[in-house]
Amino acid sequence: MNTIVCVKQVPDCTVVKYDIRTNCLENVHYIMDPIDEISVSEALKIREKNGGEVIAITLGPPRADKVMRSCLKMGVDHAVHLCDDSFDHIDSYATSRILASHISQMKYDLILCGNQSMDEGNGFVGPGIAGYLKLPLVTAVTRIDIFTDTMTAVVHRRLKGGDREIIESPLPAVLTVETMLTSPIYPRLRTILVGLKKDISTMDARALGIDKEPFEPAITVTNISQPKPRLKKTATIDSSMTAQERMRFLMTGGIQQQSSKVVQKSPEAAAADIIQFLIDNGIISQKR
Amino acid sequence: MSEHGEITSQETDVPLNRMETNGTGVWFFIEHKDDEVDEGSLKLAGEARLLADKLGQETTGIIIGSGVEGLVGRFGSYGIDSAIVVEDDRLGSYIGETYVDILSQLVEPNRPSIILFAASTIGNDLAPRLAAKLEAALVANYTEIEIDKERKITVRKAIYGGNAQATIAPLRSPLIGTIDTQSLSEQKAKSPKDTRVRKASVRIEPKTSTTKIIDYLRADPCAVCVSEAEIVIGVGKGLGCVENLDAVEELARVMGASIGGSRRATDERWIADERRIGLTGKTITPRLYLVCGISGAFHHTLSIKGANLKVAVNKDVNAPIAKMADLMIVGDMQEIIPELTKQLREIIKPAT
Ligand SMILES: Cc1cc2nc3c(=O)[nH]c(=O)nc-3n(C[C@H](O)[C@H](O)[C@H](O)COP(=O)(O)OP(=O)(O)OC[C@H]3O[C@@H](n4cnc5c(N)ncnc54)[C@H](O)[C@@H]3O)c2cc1C
Ligand SMILES: Nc1ncnc2c1ncn2[C@@H]1O[C@H](COP(=O)(O)O)[C@@H](O)[C@H]1O
Repeated sequence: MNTIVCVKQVPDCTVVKYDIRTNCLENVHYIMDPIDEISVSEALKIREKNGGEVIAITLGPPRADKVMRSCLKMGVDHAVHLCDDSFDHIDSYATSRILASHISQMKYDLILCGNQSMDEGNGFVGPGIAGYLKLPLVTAVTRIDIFTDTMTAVVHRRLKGGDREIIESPLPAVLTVETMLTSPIYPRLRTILVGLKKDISTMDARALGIDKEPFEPAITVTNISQPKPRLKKTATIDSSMTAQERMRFLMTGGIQQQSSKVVQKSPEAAAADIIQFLIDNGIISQKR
Repeated sequence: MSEHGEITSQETDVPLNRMETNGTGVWFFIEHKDDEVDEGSLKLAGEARLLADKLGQETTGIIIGSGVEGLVGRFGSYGIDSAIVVEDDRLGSYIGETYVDILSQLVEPNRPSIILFAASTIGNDLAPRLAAKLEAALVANYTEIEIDKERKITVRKAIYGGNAQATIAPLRSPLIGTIDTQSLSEQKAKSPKDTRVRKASVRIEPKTSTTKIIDYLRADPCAVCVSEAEIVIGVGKGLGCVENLDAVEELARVMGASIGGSRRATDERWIADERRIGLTGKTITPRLYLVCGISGAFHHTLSIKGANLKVAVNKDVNAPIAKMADLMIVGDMQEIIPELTKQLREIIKPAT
């Protein structure tokens, strides 16, 4: 039972900030995408039960070797780093093609990806790999049970409001995982020490045999700017606003102090107001 | 019998419209459940119409299922030109592999310029599958599609957890976009249209689905984790004592809500730690967050921005939560909650 885990290095989105003065991203600290930490942990649990190997793979610039080292310290058997100048600024479409073309040379029974990455949240790489390798795909997976006798996986897929669909898939398959799948593992010191010594196998475009026919991207990012808040749905520019208020309106996407309705009435009337508000907004519907 | 994927108009005397010959148009995917169109799909229709107007193209809804033709009528008031209907008894529930097969058969001969999906559990699954199959441009969770005078398309989306915004140029056609429909407002058309039903004949190969749905687990909305709940009731220090939780639990049962709370509420052991909302707890994105007796400290409100509607019940008109709430009720939660439960029992039922 060999599992390949696709791991992405991302800026820590809880601390990164866009600086309006310099027009640059500040406080950029690269980390392993937390969702990928979940899939690595799950892969290691699958190995514990079913044997085989776990291989972590990443595509990224030289600094991404750090996440491969982290994977080795967590206890994965091999780490593969696809790294080439020509991979700079490629989109997730090309990323999935390059990853898939290399994975196709490997021996695997299961491929795990994050459902959506922390930085871009495209949710494309998993489906992209599945499409390219013509493998079954289940997205938004919250639980995995592997049956090696029948070579099938039985998984839970996350639906709206906490509902789950239970899906059976033959292996090999691509599964994209959700954060509630499992909790990150804490490796033992011995595992960490072994991981520190292992080699990361780094491959450039030539070694991958894709320097001749590069994968054309499907999109290109032309600009990164300061986040623009979404207009509040109920917001309309009120002509009675002062210039300062209007400015704040534009900056925040609505003067929320003013858009909120304040009600102070008897409990009966207040409750009736809440109910009317919920009906108006389609949260509840009247009995037919 | 038409070619696979070719769309046949129901009234055969209607000539093939421009869209089909030019190979353009704005499409959107319609979701439905229990013979009702998903509310998000109606908002998506309005969004598709706006984009189509800018491109000078037609709007087409795609609806797949069994016995769904009757739902098309809903889209007239949104100014939708036509709907492509794919019906089959085997299409009762969503199966990604089958649906993507059908969609790609429709797209290839018709070449729409944009296809929109809701960023829902279905849209998030279907859009990337389709993009991979068509080798198309995908922008997931976009916030805005801009079309300039030359009809050049640029897309914007939030990246890095909302700390920056990316401007994206699609390099291939069609552009496939997913959007959080909760962020869209309803856009009815000024002049409604008679949405034309177009039946499509497609190959449906259940065998293409190598995965199999073997069961469905329906969650208890009151027991579900607050981060997944559609309706959340949050309680704070204002609850007063644990005995008052009974009334909140009763309301939660009536509304189908999951109870969460502030750090003060978890510190008091009124509710379990795993139900804490905030910096050191869970982030929530429900359709409704009913905030009772919570002041609205930054550590708490940080994690409730994704809630679509916020209704606050608080004794203090100056509580910071008032700045965030869509509706602020000033009063005693101990009096208002039982009253709300009573009135809800009398007149309404939960929508879903
Ligand atoms: C590092 C750090 C992390 C933190 N993380 C979190 C976190 O994850 N989540 C979190 O919530 N907090 C967190 N906090 C605590 C946070 O700063 C606030 O102290 C906390 O959110 C306040 O909780 P509260 O609103 O329930 O209580 P209070 O601030 O005491 O507010 C109680 C509110 O209830 C109202 N009220 C009282 N009686 C009634 C009544 N009968 N009817 C209606 N309203 C009434 C009052 O007017 C008041 O507004 C954190 C703090 C720190 C320092
Ligand atoms: N450069 C990359 N290298 C390896 N895996 C990646 C890379 N980019 C994305 N992935 C995988 O695809 C998942 C979803 O990413 P995305 O498509 O960007 O939302 C991630 O959680 C990773 O598992």
